[in-house]
Amino acid sequence: MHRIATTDARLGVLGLTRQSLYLRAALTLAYLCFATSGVLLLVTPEVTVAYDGWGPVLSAFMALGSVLASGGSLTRRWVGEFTGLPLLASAFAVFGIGTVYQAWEVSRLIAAANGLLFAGMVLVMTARWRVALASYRFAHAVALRDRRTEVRGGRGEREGWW
Amino acid sequence: MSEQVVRDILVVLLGAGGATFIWTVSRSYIALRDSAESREDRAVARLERYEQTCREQLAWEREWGAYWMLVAGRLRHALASNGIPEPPLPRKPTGPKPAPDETPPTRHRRHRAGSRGGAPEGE
Repeated sequence: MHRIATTDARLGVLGLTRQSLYLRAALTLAYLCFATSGVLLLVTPEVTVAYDGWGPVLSAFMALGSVLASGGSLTRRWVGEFTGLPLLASAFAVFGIGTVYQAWEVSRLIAAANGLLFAGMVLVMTARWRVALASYRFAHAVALRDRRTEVRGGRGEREGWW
Repeated sequence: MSEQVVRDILVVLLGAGGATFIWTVSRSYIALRDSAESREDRAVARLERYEQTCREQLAWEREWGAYWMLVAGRLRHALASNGIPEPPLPRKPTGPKPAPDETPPTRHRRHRAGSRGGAPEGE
């Protein structure tokens, strides 16, 4: 119930589909890259200068959100991306706006390009979070349904105890 | 757009992200807690059905055991009435009585993706 499930044919030994294995590896590595970036920004004093006191908050959001999301994608649990992606998406949004604002005077085209890049990343993360939200709703709905049907000696399951 | 406005937007975005994070953490905790309680309730229900089935099976076997004992008694009486000697009794089995298996059967269902429709695909 906690896993993000795929319905394709399985690889016998690993018990995973090729698609889900690639997704898992790629997403985990991507989130780890974001986490490393967040940690590097956290130890950089220039970020505090550029974003006043919110620089460490921004970096911490990126690092924490990425770590949660990478843990979730590695273990195939919806909880990781469900909790981590809001932090990561807001950090990217803030980064994008800050980048556009600072680059606007230098070159408007580069500022627009950077802004669109970050906007695209935020939208991708929002879409990914939407999948995790669906998994959360499904898991929660099944749990509530099992509890509402008369579980103790009732019709909670169709087959017998065997 | 002034710098102050930009900073306000940044603060609002960070605040929205933080608030959403807190909301997701709370909802995740509630969902996982309900799932754990649901699994526990289902396990208890399964154990209770198992116990009920065992009791019914025991009662059924006792009934039939009593029936066959009565049939054997009638046959013995018939043999004795006609002077027919009973065949020798079989040897009693040797060895200690095995301990009853009190472990209820569990369904070791390994999670199969998509076996019941599953959660939405992580695409």
